[in-house]
Amino acid sequence: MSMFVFLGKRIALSIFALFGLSLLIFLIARVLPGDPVRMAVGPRAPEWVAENIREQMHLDKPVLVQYYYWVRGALRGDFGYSLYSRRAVSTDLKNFLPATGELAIFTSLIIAGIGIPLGVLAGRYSNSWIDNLVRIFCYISASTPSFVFATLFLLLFSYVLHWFPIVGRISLGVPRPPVVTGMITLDGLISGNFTAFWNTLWHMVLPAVSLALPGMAQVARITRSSIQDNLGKDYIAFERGFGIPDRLIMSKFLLKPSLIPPVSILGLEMAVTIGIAFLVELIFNWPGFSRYGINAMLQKDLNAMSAVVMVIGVIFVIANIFVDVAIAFLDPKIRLGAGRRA
Amino acid sequence: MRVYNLRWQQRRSEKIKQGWYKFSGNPFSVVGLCVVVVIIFTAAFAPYVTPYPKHAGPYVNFRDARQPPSLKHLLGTDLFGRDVLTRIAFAFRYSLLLAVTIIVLSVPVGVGIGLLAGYFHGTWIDRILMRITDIFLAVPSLVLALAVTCILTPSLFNAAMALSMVWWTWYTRLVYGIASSYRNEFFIRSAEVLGERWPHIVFREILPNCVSTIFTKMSLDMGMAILVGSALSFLGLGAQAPTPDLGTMVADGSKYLPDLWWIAVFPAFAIMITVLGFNLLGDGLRDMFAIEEL
Repeated sequence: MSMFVFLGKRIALSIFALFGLSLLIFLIARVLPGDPVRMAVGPRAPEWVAENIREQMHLDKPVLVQYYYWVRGALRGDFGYSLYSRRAVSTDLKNFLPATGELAIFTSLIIAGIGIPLGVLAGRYSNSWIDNLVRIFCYISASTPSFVFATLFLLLFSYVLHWFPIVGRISLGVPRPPVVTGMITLDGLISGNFTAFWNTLWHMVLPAVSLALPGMAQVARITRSSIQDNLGKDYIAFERGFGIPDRLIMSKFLLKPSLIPPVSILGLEMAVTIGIAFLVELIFNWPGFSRYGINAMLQKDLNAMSAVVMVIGVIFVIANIFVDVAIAFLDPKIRLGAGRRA
Repeated sequence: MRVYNLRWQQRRSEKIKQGWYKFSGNPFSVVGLCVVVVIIFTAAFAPYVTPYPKHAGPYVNFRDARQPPSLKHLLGTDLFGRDVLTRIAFAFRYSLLLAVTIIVLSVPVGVGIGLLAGYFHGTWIDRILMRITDIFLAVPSLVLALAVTCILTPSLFNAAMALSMVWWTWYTRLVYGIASSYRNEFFIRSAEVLGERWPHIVFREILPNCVSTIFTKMSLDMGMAILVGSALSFLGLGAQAPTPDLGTMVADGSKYLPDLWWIAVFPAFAIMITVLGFNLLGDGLRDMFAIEEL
């Protein structure tokens, strides 16, 4: 019961925060110096064209009325027209979001698939050479921005060794699967087009690894310390005293409680990846949502910019709530309503 | 009085000795300290330690352009014939300046709000302040910072402004946690009973207890701020040419991969080493003060 109350409170607070964010981003977009309509139509368009566009976009009305129109549209999924791409922002989002989505999913799989085992190894064999190796790896990955990794990987693995393609999402000449989800990997699997699946996966390796490395370091570090914490607990000593084999203790009793902190980080990492993938998407020319967002920002495209920030905010908030639910399922103290989270 | 003072000083030096013993026991921290000292030294004395100090500014020499690393130019030259090593050394100045500006601008705000919300825990002051903080935490901070940067004219100071606008929330959260836990301690209660006003309690009783945590967080944040700042300048939103900047250098150089690889690769490694140094140092300090929250 207390779980539901907690969850309801979380959702209410999140909605409040999102409204605050919408106000904030709206105000940021409106203090923009210069006339966005003029910038979009060019200096030589007649004044009546600009006037007409201004009227259609409600830019001639007071700021509060503009905010009302904008929120009303946004709630229906209508973010207005992008002055830069000359399409509805929602169409643009639909086109670009899946590409970043599959990149973020793949990135999270790499983070979980490599980061957690590394952390478990380091925690289990702490202060050994494995632990030190993992620690050095974590320090280096956590200290390097993803665009530096992207640049170095591109040079080494694509230009010098030719193991991976240089840029793009799918090779020319590979037939694209019919669009169902917009994610080429998933569409390829659904339609049985495995060439497209493997080809896209192959294109995704370098961007995903460069995005994954900083998160991987964090997950490995947190897994290590939580394994360490739990190893020192009485129940492990008790099980050891009973002569339960070490391997069984590790897999059956230690792993599940130790996974709670890394799982909470993982969900957030995935959401963050969608927001900050832009540098890697720019370098690898990945036609994604983040790259669209950064181009919109650099072009001062107000509607697209506000939409991108709001979508990232919604994804981030949902990820946070999912993480709380996942933790509740992993942690019986919360699931049974006995414990309170700090 | 004199005797007391002497003993106090002795205890203090004893404490520093103990701290150093703990700090130097970890080779990682010592490496971090050395890297940071070398970088600060290079940045401070850049005109004296670099071979071509002129190359940091608007300087063109097409005869020596696009030179690969050699004895004359250890890390090669860029498209305008400027020495890459010199420009990296000068770029450290701007990276450090950016990071320090971000921290100087955001720490007082973040700490102040966190202290107030923490001391007035459970009242409307707490609720309003923490809801405002929640708004800034509803998106990854870099996204909001980018939105702010884009409406300002790109410059080093504006990048720092935009990043501080989102940076303070981390300090608020950190200090809020500590302050609200101290709120019911006896020394706060007795100060209240003695009739002290809240500014005294907040700034003279609670704040001193947060100082070591805040300083450690600041040193950990130096690395993070340099990293994020380089991401902004990679997009061309940081310091503008001809000011040397590590992120800009990587961005410019990456257009000429793989032939002119040295233009991008060496600044990239410079970012890596700088951030690594500050992270190692920050971790060492955290272990030294035994701070759990960070």
